[in-house]
Amino acid sequence: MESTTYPLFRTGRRIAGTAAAVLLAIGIFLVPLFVTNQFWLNALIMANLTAAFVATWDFLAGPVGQLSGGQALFLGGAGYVAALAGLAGVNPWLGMLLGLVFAAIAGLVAGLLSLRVSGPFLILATLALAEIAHESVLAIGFLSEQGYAIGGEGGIPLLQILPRSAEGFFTTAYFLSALLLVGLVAGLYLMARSRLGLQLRAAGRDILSAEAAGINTTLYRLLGFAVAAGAAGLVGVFWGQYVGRVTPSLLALQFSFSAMVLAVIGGRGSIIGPAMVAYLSTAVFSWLWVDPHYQQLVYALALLVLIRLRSL
Amino acid sequence: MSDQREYLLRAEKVSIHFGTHFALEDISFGVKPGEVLGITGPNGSGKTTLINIISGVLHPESGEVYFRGRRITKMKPHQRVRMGMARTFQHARNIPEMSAYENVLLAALNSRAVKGSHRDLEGKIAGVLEKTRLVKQRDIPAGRLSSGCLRRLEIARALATDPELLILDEPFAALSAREEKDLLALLEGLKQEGLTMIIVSHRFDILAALADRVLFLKDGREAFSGPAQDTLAFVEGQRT
Repeated sequence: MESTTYPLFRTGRRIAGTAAAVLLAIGIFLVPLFVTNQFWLNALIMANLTAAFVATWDFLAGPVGQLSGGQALFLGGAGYVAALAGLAGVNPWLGMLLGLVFAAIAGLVAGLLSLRVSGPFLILATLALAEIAHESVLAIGFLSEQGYAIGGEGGIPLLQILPRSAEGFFTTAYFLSALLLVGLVAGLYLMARSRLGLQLRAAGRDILSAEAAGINTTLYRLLGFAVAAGAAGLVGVFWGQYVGRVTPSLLALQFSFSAMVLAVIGGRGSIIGPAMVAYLSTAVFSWLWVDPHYQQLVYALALLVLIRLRSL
Repeated sequence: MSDQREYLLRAEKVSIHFGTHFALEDISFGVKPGEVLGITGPNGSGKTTLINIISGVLHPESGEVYFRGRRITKMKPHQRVRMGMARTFQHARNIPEMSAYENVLLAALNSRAVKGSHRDLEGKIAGVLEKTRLVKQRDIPAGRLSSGCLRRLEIARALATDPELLILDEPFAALSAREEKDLLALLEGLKQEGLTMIIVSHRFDILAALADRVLFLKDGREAFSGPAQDTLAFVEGQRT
């Protein structure tokens, strides 16, 4: 909420906040100067990607005002489309673009759903879409001409633009993931605080008020979904390129659930807060060698504790 | 209806029902440029339903609505705003977490007037906030404003769209005497500026002061239409 404190104080707070964010962004890029171990670089790359993904959910839940239970659909769906395009002989760059387009279109479909249902029903409907995709990729598999299993639990390989065997792969991948994180978070944050973001928020909060102000709420809701989904898709195609393979786990419920929980813990709608929480939690869990299943347990417990504290 | 071109807004034989209940039946009326039309009637007579149809929140099952000679019956509310029609709601609706300035900015960004520079936009918002006496409340979230300020904020938002027609649904409901006086002065000022208005109200005294004509609805039908000063006589006649 806009503060009622004096303008100078608000301006001072904004300057301090911006300075802190810029320093943080610079810090992220300086990491490889201190971290050269491949295990740690990998962990921090995953932290960058997870943080960027969580920011996309938070953009949808915050400024756009819509709750998605299936954000993993856009993440994994984009990765799978890029991988399938590669199997069909499409240039990897074009494959990534196709993945982005798929994610944006899937976002529009979810956006159309949001015009009919809201709240818990929208969460369930988007969750259902993601689960349909998840179960479909799990079930569908075939043998390649060379006799390799494609699809199913093993997923689909991607032709990497930068092969894993290349010199400096992890350092390069880290810089690219950091650029993705900083660029995406900055882009979503600035959009949320722009005049476009103001209208997105109005369309998400109160359709009647927004329409009375002349806002085409249908257009803005669809736009909000397309942007959030496209951004998640961007993370997804990068994820596939980095790992060299997309698997059904990218479409799994745990990704969507993690995004929701981390966004709530980090401060829903702030974009930077959820990204920071996601980054730190991924890095810490990697440092402690925590199994992904136990990570989900910790997220769920943290959510319950937070809800309890807020209700006091 | 005589010479249809003289009307800014026309409704022709508008009907709608909810379930088996006819909320409105064959309602026809027109509003001329610069005119103030009052709409009144007992609770459940269809006043807000009629306003919702005019503003596009609801679509009638039969009948048509015209604005500036153009059929707008199926148009969405935001399209009507862009054509020059603005409204307020029976229970004031603003975005509570946005400041008064931001609520008005939303409307100013979607005004039907030709977009000028950033300075022009800021000047328009400042002018509207000053007219509605909300300058001090500019940076306060709408959720923290008093009921009188919320009513004026809704009107400020509507004015920011540069409307030719302003529709007010029960603007004086739940206001203190002081807030009523302020709002009445504002609406009198807008009337003097020549703004066409439709005012829905139970208050005959307010309508007598502001409206040129009154449309009295009863059970979803037009029961009376005529000069404002004759409305009270009609209502008294109904009671005896």
